[in-house]
Amino acid sequence: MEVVPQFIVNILIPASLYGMVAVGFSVVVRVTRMYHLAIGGLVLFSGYLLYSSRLAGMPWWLGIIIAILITTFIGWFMGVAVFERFQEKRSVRVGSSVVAALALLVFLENGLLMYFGPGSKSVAHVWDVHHAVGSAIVTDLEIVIVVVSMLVSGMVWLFLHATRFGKALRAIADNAEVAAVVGIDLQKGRGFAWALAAFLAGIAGIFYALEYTLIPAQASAMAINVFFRSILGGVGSVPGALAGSLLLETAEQATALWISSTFKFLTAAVMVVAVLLWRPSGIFGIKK
Amino acid sequence: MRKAIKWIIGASLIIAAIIALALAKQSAPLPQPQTTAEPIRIGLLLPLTGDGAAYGIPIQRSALMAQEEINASGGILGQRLEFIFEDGKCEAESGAAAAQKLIYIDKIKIIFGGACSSETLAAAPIAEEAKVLMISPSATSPDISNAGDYIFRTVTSDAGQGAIVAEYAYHTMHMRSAAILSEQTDYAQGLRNVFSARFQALGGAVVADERFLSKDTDLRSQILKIKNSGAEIIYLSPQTLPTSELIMKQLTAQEVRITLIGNENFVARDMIAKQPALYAGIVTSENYINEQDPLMSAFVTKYESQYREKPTLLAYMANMYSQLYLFKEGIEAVGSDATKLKDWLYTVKSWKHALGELTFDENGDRVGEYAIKEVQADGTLKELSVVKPQ
Repeated sequence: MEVVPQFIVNILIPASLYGMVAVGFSVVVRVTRMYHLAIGGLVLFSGYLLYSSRLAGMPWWLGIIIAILITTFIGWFMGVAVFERFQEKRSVRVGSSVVAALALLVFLENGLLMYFGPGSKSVAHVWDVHHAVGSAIVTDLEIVIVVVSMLVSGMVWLFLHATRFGKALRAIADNAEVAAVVGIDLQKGRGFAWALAAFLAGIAGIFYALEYTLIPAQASAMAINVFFRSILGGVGSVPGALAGSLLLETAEQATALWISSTFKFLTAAVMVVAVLLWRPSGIFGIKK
Repeated sequence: MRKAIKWIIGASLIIAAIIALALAKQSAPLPQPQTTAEPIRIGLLLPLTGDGAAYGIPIQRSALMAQEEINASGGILGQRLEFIFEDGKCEAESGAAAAQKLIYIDKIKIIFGGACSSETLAAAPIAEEAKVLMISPSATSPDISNAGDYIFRTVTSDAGQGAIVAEYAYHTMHMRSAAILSEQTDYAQGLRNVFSARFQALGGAVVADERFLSKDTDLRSQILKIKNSGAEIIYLSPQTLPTSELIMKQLTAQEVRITLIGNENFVARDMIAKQPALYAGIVTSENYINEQDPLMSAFVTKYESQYREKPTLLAYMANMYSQLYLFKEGIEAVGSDATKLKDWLYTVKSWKHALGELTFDENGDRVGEYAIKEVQADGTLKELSVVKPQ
């Protein structure tokens, strides 16, 4: 049996799912200069919201919308209530913001642990129809995950480059002081970035709940994963986040398939270091 | 804006404080009936948080049920039974720390646990050195046999279980090539080693041997490799219930139609009853238990009515439940000195309780029988055969 088609499918699914979260993470880093590690917790949070909505007997569409909306709101609130405090006139307290982000991640993870318990929770299967693509098997859900993640990421890129508000965000990213001088509302821009990242995390959480199983402890693994991917691709760039995700996933899956699954995280880590030595600002990073 | 946020934060802090106070008040201990005698204190070392809690908690509840019954009927020689809980988290470091705390801070002489092999193996040398009796209801790693003189278990070693499953696959199911998918933990690797060695000794071939880390969420590459290995059967050896479910989800997603045989995670009655379609057809094994036995069925009925859930890993839970009654008899016979109790335990032969028949061998392991079971389409277990390890 030919392995390659399934191998590609196996890469595409997690790469696009994590890629979408990495896009949000990247935008936040560029606009606010803060490393929003709590985003890993937000992904799981959204998944658990969907799980709860199913328990409460809500219809699918309503559960999904509510989960994404609440996650977006929480993400925005975290941004304005916590991270905004580390924003100073000319600089950002990066150290404090990273500690705060880690604390929020721990808070979310342990909150989920307290409320839902340590066992795995899963949401009943949907879009479970299997398709054969060559020798590979793909479910409807997996097609939806890849297509929607790519589409949403593409829309974020389009938004940043083609709309007035998107351009304003990029201006803040390039030089906040100048942006303020020309009359761009920095606080509003940053607030939007927090909400956008949480929105993407919310969608990813829905997919995560449907495709995998929910375990609170996965929140920190998710945060590290997303952090690695966006740094590898070059922080701040939408295609960079996606490329970083794809590259890292390929390395991990190839190691697992042809060498040994024991070493897959090791290969990933070695690759991140190697790429950063060669291009310190990541593959698509902006040279300063 | 800023002011509003300050108010919101302040208000939520106050609300949180009120809730915390209310909860604290609610969980304040009820006044215990006074007895003059010193209580008998037993340390319970179990995974109470983390993935392992999925079976640590049911085992803890089984112990609490027995404690309640024993105390209600006058305790042990008039002494009340008291527990001190420590969280082993199913990890070596936490297991060792928990044992240190129980032995040197709480001055405990008897520890029940751990539930996982990792925490038990880490705690065992500490208990052995302090001459503290340790008895596990569920740690099955073959390494525990030689962990010490004071270390017992009311569960059988995987040296037997892995071999029996391999023999069943080879002789009864007529499988000749196997793939293994195992988690990288003491317990799961112990089983993997035994299965692999026995299956090959019988003349079978292990054509793929894939492992994954406990934190992995994506096992697709391992599964793809196994799918292409030409194996007739896959031996699944996960550590916990969440990883068991993950494996099954991803095997289903990739339409793997190879016969499955799993370790005792797949007898988790609560788990398979919730999603029978996912687990139907898996062959698995556990310590032989007679569910028709009156003590056993009374235990199950009481557990279900008290905790409103199916007993997850029934054999382990019954082990813990019965263990307390075993110690009641032991203390009544020789007193609560750990060394005397240890010597007494080695003399236990065919002791009957909810767990079935209990005899310890010279390593403090339970001599026992296994049952091979199959998950049915309706989420129940069908007993295929009962085997004694050689």
